[in-house]
Amino acid sequence: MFRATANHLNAQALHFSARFTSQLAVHQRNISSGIRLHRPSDDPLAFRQASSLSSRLQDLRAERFTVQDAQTKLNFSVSQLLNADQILTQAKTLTQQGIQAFSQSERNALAIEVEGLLSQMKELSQSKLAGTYMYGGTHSSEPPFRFSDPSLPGRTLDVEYRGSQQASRAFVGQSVAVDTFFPGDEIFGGPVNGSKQREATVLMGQTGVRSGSGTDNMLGRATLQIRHTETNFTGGSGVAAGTSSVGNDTIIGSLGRHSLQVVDTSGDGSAGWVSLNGGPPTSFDNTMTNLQVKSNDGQFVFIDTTNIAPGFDDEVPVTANGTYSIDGGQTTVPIDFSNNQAVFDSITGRFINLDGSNLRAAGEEYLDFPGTSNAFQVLHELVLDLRGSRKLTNADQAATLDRRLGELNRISDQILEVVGQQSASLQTMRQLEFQIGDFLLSTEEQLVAVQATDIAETVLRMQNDQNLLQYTYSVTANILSTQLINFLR
Amino acid sequence: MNFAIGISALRAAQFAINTGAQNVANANTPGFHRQRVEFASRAPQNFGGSFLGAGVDVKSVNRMRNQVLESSLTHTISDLSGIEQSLSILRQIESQFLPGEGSLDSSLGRFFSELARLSANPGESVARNAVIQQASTLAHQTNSIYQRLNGIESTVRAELEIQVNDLNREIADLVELQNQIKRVSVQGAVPNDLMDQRDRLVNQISEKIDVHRFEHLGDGFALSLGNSSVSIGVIPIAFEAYENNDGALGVRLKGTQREVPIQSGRLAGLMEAHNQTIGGFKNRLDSFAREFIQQVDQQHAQGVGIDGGFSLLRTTRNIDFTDLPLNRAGLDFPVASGELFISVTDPQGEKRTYSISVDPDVDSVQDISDRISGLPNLQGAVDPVNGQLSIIAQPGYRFDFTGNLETIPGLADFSGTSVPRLSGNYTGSSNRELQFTIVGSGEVGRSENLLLRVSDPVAGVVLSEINIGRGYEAGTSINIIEGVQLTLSAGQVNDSDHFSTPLVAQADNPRILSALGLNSFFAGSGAKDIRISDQIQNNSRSLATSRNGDLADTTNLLRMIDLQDARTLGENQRSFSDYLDDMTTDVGFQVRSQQVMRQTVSDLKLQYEAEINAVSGVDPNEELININLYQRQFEAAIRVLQTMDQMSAELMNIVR
Repeated sequence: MFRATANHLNAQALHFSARFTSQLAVHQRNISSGIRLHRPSDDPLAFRQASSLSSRLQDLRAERFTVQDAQTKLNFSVSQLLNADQILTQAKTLTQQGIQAFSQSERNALAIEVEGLLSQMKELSQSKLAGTYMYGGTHSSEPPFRFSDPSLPGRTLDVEYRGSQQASRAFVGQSVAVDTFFPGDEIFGGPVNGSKQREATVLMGQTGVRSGSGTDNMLGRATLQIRHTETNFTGGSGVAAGTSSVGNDTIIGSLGRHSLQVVDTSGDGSAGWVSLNGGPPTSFDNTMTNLQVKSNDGQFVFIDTTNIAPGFDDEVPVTANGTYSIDGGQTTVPIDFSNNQAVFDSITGRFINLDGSNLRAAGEEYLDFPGTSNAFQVLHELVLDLRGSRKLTNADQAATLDRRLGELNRISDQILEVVGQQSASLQTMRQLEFQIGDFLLSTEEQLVAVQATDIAETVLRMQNDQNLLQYTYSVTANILSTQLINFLR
Repeated sequence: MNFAIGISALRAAQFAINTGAQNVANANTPGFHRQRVEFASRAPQNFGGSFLGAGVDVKSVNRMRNQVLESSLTHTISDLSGIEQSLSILRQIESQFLPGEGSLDSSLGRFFSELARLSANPGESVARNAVIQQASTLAHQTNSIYQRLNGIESTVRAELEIQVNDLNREIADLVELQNQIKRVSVQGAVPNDLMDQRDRLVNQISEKIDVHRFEHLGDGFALSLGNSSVSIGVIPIAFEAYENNDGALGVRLKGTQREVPIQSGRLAGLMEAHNQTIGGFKNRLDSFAREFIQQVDQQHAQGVGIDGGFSLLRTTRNIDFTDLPLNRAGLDFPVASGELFISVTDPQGEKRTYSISVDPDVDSVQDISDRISGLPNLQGAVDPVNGQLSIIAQPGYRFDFTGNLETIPGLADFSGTSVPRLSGNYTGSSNRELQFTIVGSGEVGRSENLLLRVSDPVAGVVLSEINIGRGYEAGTSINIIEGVQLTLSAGQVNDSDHFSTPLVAQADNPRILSALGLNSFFAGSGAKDIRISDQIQNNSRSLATSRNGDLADTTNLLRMIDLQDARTLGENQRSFSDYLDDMTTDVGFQVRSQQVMRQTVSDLKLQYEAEINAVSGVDPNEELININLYQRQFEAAIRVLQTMDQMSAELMNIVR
């Protein structure tokens, strides 16, 4: 039989009273705060889970912020680019009207409208959101484009892209990043894309020069100047270059390209006739030092007939040398009449390749480099073309406007492609935002489930502990009240 | 008639009643053992051949006790006391890792969240400052927790000394008590109350140190302490707390080098807390801080702020010896063998990337400085006073450790007029070198059969051959490999001309930048001194979010964000967050475990106390019953005496 003393009963009462009171204190804290995890030791595994969920919540909130921020930027960008496309659509309409216009004054009016569109396009390209340029890529601290007047008359607008080729990227979670600031060079077209879209160089003129076999790298448009420098006559005809020949002869060509028929009708070289390339005969005598001889196609040379060989009657092969210049005459290169001669632009360092094997006349060639102009340059070129700044034939002018139309379509396609990409990104962002929202909700629910107090359960436990405490008090009071001393009288 | 019999009965009853009264009086005295009077019949006397009893004697007054149970209780008290001490300290440690908005884990998460937010608007000074502020909070919290753990450690050290002093006093009291018991015992008495006091004192001592008691028949008593390494005799012994060279606390016999191995009790709890628990958590926190500092700094160092590269950089971390190899130079972080890439940008914006080799077993900081001085337009200098290494660029030049592609490679073996340029960002995962060789001679973009051969000279592999003659538009980009692009300007190129360029995925394989503190985000090297570097604190533009200096370039920022999931910590390769969670969970588990143990041992103690109480405890009712019994005995003895007295009177009347 276990011998229980009053002390033992008392110790038990104290022990269990302390235990239940302590448990009641925990229940009180959990119910009052609504949280059951106050210290890691409350439930280490649940605590770890709660900690992990809290971290995830923080991450998700940051991700939601960046996704929303990216959406704002994408929305803004898409809106700006749709405006840009609208500008291009208007430009295309004006180009069509230009092709069908009956008068230059009508085209001049259209040019003024296109100038307005160019200004709008420039403004769009320098768009800022919250003080940051949208289309400078990672280099978004200053205007991405700098526009300056063409380096030479007749050339296209000088556009310098000062942004970077890389888009800025924002972290949206799970090692995923989205573009936020976009490289404008890619959007509005430029040399980077030019290399992929360059088409065959177009030469417009009557000189007979053609594009060489090398790959040009000049951009936009240019004017090729072909100047006469020297005419030489072979054989023993005695004909020589006239005093005005240098720089004024209009023929250019390697030996045999042009010929001069010389017929001495006097028999002593004092008089006769000459004909250039089978053109109409021109009479001469031995006193003429600067006789102009024209061909059927309007070319002419100046000759000296003072020393014609007596009795000469034959075709004289002619060599007419000249120079090329692509930079307005700032630098010239002698024509070698090869089929792939490089001519450099001293202003940009770029070059073109020319085939001079069929070159026949001095003059100017208007060059277009399709697929190499950006949106601003195409609009600027359109203004110049509508104004008729180059002396083009009607056919060439129509063809040029038609090319501008193609260029506008190309730029428009390019912008719409970017709009499409950004819209797709926007769609992804929206889905991502929904997903993050769902994750947030689910994580919050999990966190609540892990760390929040289950009130019903806790109340039941508390009630149970309270009952036990009451029983402890009650049974202790009852037992201790039964004392022998009460019976000893 | 023998009055003596009655008187002996009277005296015995009185003695027993007094003993009962003493029991009742000490019913609630801690350590008191109830006492029982042992009666014995006096030796009979011979009355004419018949033996007649001579009354009763009080043979002894015994303490009611169970020696085995009490010994077990002493052990349990020692265990419980040690557990409660450990638990108390663990709960203080646990308090440093409480959950909520201000927790370390939460601050760590918020730091990475702010980095993610910054990636949306990298140029915003508010967002940049938010990152710095959050990092500062994290550093401050780490530092505060470390200091508070230091505080707990100091308190434990002081408490150990107090407890040792108390123990010494109690041992002295015990020895004195034991001597008293011996003196009384020699006189033939049984000093029950003194022995009660001794038992109580033994239990008090056991609260501090593990105690083993030996009791023999009679008054044989011995006590050994500290895993039976020290015995208490007639001369008091004393202990002292001490700290060894490793900073660990111990207890030894005072005035000697003899360490006492303490197994349980408060002293064991304090020593374990100091030498293992607190130290362990401090080490773990420090490991976290060190790894965090090094990882963030290492990545930060390989980027640039939004003002671009540097014209001057100084190391900010400790260098004890600038002329000894790096692994013996007293650096805060270890350095490995490898190559450090340094890019130098000229006033025109053209960039060249150079590398210097680093061998920590051989190279000193001075050697590194000399190698840097050997690079074009850079100068390295070591301050002989403070050991700081400075890197200075020539006026107009800037340098960085981004390892970005050089814009124009070295053209010593390239004789043509065409100029190659590199662009893009290398996206490969390992460092490599590319060699470009011209095949054929001619003009770029114009000649036929003109190729550029791209090869990997280390692997000896030709990667591609690209047309750069007719069909290639001079000056346009050619995609080479993994984000690397090359352009060749118009001009002549000659057969077999070549150039090479490094492709850098990791600009600092030796991790020397963080070890020296070049372009660091943090200052300090561990939990005790972590803080934001002055450069970052004073100028948020210096926060190296970029790798090219562009305002919205987030490439380095994204790499810093990736550190959140980097698994580099501890043996299990944990992420920073997981590591902190492990630490917090561990302290939670330890507290939990100690709580369970306390409950178990406490229940065991209660059980032992109940069983001891069953033997030694005073039950007032029982005592009252006994007193009642002895009262009857007393009354009966008086009646006997009265009867004898009447009988004597009757006899006297006859005589009269």
